[in-house]
Amino acid sequence: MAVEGSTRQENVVDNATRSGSVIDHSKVRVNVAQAARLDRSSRLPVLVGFTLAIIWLLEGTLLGDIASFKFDFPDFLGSQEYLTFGRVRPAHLNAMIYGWASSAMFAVSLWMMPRLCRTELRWPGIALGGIIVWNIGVYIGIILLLAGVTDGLEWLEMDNRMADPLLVIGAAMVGASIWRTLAARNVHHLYVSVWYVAASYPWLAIIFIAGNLPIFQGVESAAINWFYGHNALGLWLTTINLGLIYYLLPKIVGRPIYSYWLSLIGFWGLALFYSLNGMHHLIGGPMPSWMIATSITASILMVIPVVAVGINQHMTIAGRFGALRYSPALTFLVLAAMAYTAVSLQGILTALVNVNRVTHFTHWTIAHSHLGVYMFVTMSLFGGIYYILPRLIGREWPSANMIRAHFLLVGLGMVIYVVTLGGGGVMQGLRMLDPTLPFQASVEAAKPWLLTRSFAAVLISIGHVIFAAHALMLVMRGRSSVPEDPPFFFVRPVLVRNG
Amino acid sequence: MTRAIILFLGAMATLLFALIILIILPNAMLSKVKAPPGLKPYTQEELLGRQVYIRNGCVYCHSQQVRDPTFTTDVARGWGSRPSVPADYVYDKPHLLGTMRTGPDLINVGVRLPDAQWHLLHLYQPRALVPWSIMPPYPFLFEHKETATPDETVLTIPEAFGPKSGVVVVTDEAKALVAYLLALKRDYPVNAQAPVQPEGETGEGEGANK
Amino acid sequence: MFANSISVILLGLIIGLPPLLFLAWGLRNGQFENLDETSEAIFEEEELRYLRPWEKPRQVSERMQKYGKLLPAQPEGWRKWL
Repeated sequence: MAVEGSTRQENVVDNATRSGSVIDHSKVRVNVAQAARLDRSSRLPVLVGFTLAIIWLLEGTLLGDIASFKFDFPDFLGSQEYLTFGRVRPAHLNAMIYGWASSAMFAVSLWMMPRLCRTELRWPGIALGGIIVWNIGVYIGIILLLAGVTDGLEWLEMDNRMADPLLVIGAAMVGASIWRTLAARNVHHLYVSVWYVAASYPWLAIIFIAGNLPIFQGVESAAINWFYGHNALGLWLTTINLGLIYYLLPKIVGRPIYSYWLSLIGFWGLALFYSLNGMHHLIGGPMPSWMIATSITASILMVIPVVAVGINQHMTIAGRFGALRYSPALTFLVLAAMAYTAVSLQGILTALVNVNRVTHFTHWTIAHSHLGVYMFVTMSLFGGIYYILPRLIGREWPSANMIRAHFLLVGLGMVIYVVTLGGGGVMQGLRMLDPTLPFQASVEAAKPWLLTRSFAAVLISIGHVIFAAHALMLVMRGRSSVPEDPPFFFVRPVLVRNG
Repeated sequence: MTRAIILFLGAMATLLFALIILIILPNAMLSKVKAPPGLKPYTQEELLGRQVYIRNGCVYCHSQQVRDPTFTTDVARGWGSRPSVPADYVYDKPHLLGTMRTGPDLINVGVRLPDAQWHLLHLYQPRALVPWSIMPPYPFLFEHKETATPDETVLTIPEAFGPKSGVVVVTDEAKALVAYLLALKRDYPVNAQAPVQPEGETGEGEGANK
Repeated sequence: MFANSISVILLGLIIGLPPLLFLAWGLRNGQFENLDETSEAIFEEEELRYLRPWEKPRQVSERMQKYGKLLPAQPEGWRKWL
């Protein structure tokens, strides 16, 4: 591992071929200058991706707030056709999933691949173009949605003539850059994050195109709808973020992942068995028994990868939770990892018939989904942004107070959201189950918890504004030169409280 | 150790996919849902109304499926005389099964609430008829004008909920939506061949009207 | 009809079968060997040798044993944010 002179090592790393190479790449580490060079190769698409993502975060938050307040004050903005609940609610979902999360996920993918493959990003112009085309598609889709043009399927609302083709093309462009970089790799062994990130792109393309084909009707339409919805979670949103956590969590803590083979089991288990899980969205509905059997089998098999990931993340950080106080990125990533385990186990629990008869069709589902897409996906992406942005801008985050405020507001807000609305959903469901109670009872039972959810929404919104403002401060005051200091100069978080 | 486990995973997956290709897929290719005799296709107006339903996102608060009485209490609650079967949805493109019951299930609302006037007023302002409701109002499905022309229908609104002056006229959109809602009736009997039942169903008349 | 949703079945196969092929490729290609080295490939030069202030003495000495003499934290050291 001790190599004299960085120049010689740089040549060795760059010029050696994969097979028949004298140097085993797994043993050779990059130095700081090389890491910085790799970061530079993807800098522009990553920055653009994060910028567009954060703008979407704010827009999606506003849409979510409006939707939430409408539960508490149903006549709020009631005469505005473009803001009726039935349009604002899917607009919020699409803005968050396809605007905020997906843009940020493109960015983290493009940042990770050069580092993991030890070669510069290939076709960065195409990657950048892809992010822009995708975003144009999402804007068109959401504006049309508010105007009443929708495909009518949850998670697939954006118009399949005017918006969806742009999304497919945009994602394909980013995916092409990712795979081209993979093909040009300078490593023999693929770190687990490479599997996760690379696989996500063909999976997204397949499910998105299939879900949007206008050829299904009746219960088959429902089957495809939820096949898509569940797999969008597991084969796109989950996979990119697991890839991110597997890379950054060990790196910041300074130990390799607890059990690398376990992480491989986790990936392959997911890849082989995940897609059959989607049926649980239709429990109780018109469903044949073989589907139930397959779904239960797939769900049980999924326990293996979920537990594998959970054990891995936990054992890597166990005994070192103190590290969270020194790195905001790590804090967000660790919480995200825990949330992934929690939401997956919660989901498996909810698939059990006895639980499902209470929770299905209630606000519990919404609370559950926010545990996943916020506490796991969004917090993971916050962690990624806190780690990556300073490295691209060349200076550290300006304000520890703003990071603290962001963390406390969204953390507290989301815990209130998930716990109170989840509880409210259970109460709603229990009342709905009792045929002697009128439907009104279920609505009244939920009302106080819809209000607490709105309160949580306000906290979270403030947190987002602070985060966005802070990111703007960082970018505006930053230099673009890349310093020679060792990497964790940026891992080191910012200014300590005075006194 | 890793190789062994990976090989095992691969073997399991191969078995599972082989099962799917050799047994399940051929079975699937052989059967098809037929339209039940009791279900008529949607009329032009009803289809337009269905589009209004979709455009305004009604599916995000209302489901359209009656679940089995051995599983839960949808039937006891009066949402349907029997559980829904796949055949009930043959003309639905896209499906509107729904995943939330912020509001009641609607697959049989045409049976339960057959009065068009009730629906029109309820859409205009739900709280005029259901004080505890949190459903949004849809005034934009109606037209507020000074006076109505002879061929227009005026909506009768209780004073507390209507405009201060002028009248509220029903548009074609609103009429179409109500026509669609009234067409939501799935109470015709389905025969014993109605294919899909959840496991655990007893032997007697699968899905048949009792 | 759900039971006969050929599309869902086909999609499940389209998504599930290629990974099986990649798995076979990975096995043949040696992706499941040298796991310890692969797990350390994410670290930069010397990254594992920096002193981390949250580590207990036992953890510190473990780090020293595995990676060599520890390097002190850079200019202003690690600082807490929370």
